[in-house]
Amino acid sequence: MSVQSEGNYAEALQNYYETMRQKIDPYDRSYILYNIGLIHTSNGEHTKALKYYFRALERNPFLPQAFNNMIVLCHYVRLSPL
Amino acid sequence: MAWSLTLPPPPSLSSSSLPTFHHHPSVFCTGVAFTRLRHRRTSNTIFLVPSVGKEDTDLRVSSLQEQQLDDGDDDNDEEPTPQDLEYVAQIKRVLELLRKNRDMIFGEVKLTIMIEDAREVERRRLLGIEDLDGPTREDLVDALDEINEGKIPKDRAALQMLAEELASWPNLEDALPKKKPSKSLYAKATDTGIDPELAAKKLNIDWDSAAEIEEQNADDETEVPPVVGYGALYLVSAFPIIIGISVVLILFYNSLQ
Repeated sequence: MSVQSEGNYAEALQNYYETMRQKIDPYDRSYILYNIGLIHTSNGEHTKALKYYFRALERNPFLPQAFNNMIVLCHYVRLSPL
Repeated sequence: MAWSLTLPPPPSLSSSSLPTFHHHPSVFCTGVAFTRLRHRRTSNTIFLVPSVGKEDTDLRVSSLQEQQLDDGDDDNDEEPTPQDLEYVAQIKRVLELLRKNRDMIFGEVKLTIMIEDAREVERRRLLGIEDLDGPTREDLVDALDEINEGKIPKDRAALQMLAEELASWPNLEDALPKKKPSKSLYAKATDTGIDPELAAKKLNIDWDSAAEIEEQNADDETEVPPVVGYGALYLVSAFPIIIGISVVLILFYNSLQ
């Protein structure tokens, strides 16, 4: 996450990929999915971002920023609600 | 369908005042070419029939060839090899293990496979070794979807690559340890945009309780007896004392000599 905060999204994605393949608590996994969604949002890959946000919320409904981001993305890309 | 054309009688039968008929060698009607068939003079009738040209024959042959090619493609698609079936079985086994041991649903596996190494893509592009025909991450995800639906993926290269990637998933056989609820480091470090404590106060609910669980005491987490833990500390602390006593004894021994 420190790499992500520095703006090195490619390295952050690879780190998240390796982490997702490890034994990790499903609750922690929701935060990883949320962070991956943030990266795709920053890269302009809105459809991918929506997928990650949706899965993150399935695991952890207490992510209000994910809801907010999903609404903004749906409004931005003129997609129908999921 | 035959077209008939009636010709006028010979000039000897007609009077000089009647106009004479002059016909062309071929007649075109509605864009269809007709070939003239001449009969005996007694009937004074010429029949025109549509001709079967080379283009029609070529079209018919080409359609047959296309049909044969399609049949061949269908045969190839409908006949998975034993290796393909083995790949599919392997992938299904890995999916089952992930669901059972790590509580990882299919959607999460898909999203994990979808993660692409942007650095590798950029490196290949710069080196000029970009493989346009190779399977992409989207192809792997599509293959995974087909397997989940009970189908055999048509893209064999993607199937093989997917099987190899899932087989390299680390520690598949190990189950997720059942630990006590504790404060999540990810929850602590991730900025979700809202302060959980403030939100909980405003909404008067137990907001994101897992993130607020206090850390366990150090005493509870210690797995070795205290003697072993403090023994090393005592040993390190005793070194100066031992050295001091040794020096005193050496000096005393020298003074006696």
